[in-house]
Amino acid sequence: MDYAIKHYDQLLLLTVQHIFLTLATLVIALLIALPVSLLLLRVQAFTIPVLAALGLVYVVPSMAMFAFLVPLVGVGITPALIALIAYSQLFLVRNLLAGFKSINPSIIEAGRGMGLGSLRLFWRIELPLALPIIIGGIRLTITTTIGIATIASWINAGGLGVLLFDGLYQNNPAKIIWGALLVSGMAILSNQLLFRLERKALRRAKGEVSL
Amino acid sequence: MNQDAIVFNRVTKTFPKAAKPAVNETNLRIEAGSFVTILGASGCGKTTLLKMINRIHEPSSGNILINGQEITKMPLNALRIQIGYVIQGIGLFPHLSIEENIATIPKVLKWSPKRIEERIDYLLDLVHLPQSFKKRYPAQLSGGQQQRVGLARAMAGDPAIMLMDEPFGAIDAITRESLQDEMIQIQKKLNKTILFVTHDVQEAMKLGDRIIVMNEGTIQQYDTPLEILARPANEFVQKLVKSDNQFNQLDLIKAEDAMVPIDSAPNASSWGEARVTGRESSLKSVLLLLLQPEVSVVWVVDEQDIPVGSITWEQLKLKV
Repeated sequence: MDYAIKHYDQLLLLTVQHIFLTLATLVIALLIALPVSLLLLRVQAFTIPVLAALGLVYVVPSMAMFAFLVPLVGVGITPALIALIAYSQLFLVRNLLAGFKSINPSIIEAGRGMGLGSLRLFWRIELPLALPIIIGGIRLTITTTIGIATIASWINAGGLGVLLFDGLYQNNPAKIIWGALLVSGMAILSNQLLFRLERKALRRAKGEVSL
Repeated sequence: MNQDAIVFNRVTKTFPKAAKPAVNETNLRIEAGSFVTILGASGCGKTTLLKMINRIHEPSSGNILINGQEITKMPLNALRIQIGYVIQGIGLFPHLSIEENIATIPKVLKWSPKRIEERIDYLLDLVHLPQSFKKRYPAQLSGGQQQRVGLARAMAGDPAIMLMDEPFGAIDAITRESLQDEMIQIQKKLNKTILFVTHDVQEAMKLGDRIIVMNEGTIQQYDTPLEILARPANEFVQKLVKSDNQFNQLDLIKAEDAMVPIDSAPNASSWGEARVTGRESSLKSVLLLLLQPEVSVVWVVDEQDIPVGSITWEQLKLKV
């Protein structure tokens, strides 16, 4: 406890860094995954090879991935972001695809047939109906990103990993405990939050039963 | 320009990788305000024929006109908005309430909220759903009720043409009959041009002013139900509509096709039970009445119980 009070500014800074790294990863990863998924829905033949490739990327150990990226782009936040975004693609693309494919084709046919433009159809109908599964993918992405981002401090990307590594090197239990507490707290909290959002989206997609 | 709502000019549709065209060199004229059913087995091209009109499928060759205008010359969604579309899968938007579902196209057309609300009230009455359903969601409705909403949604923008692809195919027999009856009433009332795909001979005969019989991508016959029964164009049509017993055949003929029209009403109290309601009633119900003791003539009355014709044994026999 003493440690937290004494070093609250450092804890706060590292936490903010960690959150920033996670959110930046999520936003950029979504911006990539969404067009990729929409493309794959049109060109079905590529779906399996792309998912297989993303699966391969995902199983590369994070240390190996960072070691591979550092010679190419140097240390710091850049290789961390690249690695985290690459890992995120598997869950995001997979769940985006599953989300859109889960929609009953009659709903799309009715919407198109009655003259809804593709943009309107996407925002008003397809996205809300696919949302529960998409949020599920985001939930997985965020929790794994929070975890892997810890290791990214090893290549000077900052975040709560700094605390953990310092603690290990300096044999400082207070740092280890606080680092672990904050990282897991963050992961658990965001998991719970997104789980609620997911359920809310699901209720909405099914037509809330208002009695 | 004549009164043709839909015209097909030598329309062929061959799907990629298909050996034979789904629809082959088809010419067709659908008169405005008519109720035309398209009858055929699955894979005969009837659904493809229908779905080329709202460009879900594009013809491989030939062209299609609605109200004298070639459909490929119109913006796609502008074309679709003027055509009501009802499908077997219904396809209600599950995350939107009944009123939001119906309001979909009026909102695209930027109607005022007041106008949209009035339209929803009117349509719910038309398809016989209570106003209390407005705030409900599709999952809370039965299949028949959902398709009523589907119908209301398709008519929301007041389209002159309705395309219906086996809309009652997945609905139980009893509900299907009342939906069919209501469809006839709606068409009479609003004078829409309706194209209705079905594989059910009875449904095609009951609903259609005229029937298109299709097989292997080609129209076999396009005629009134009575003509198709009396003079089938070929063996295929004959086999399709010819029931193995005459009792079933009577079910396919409407009372108005057998009755002798009358204009002066005889004494209503003397009829007893010997009356059928509606010109569309089948001759089967007429026969059942004629079989009763003391009944020698069956009166056909309209919805207001005003007699419009009479049928005797002799007239019934002529039709069989």
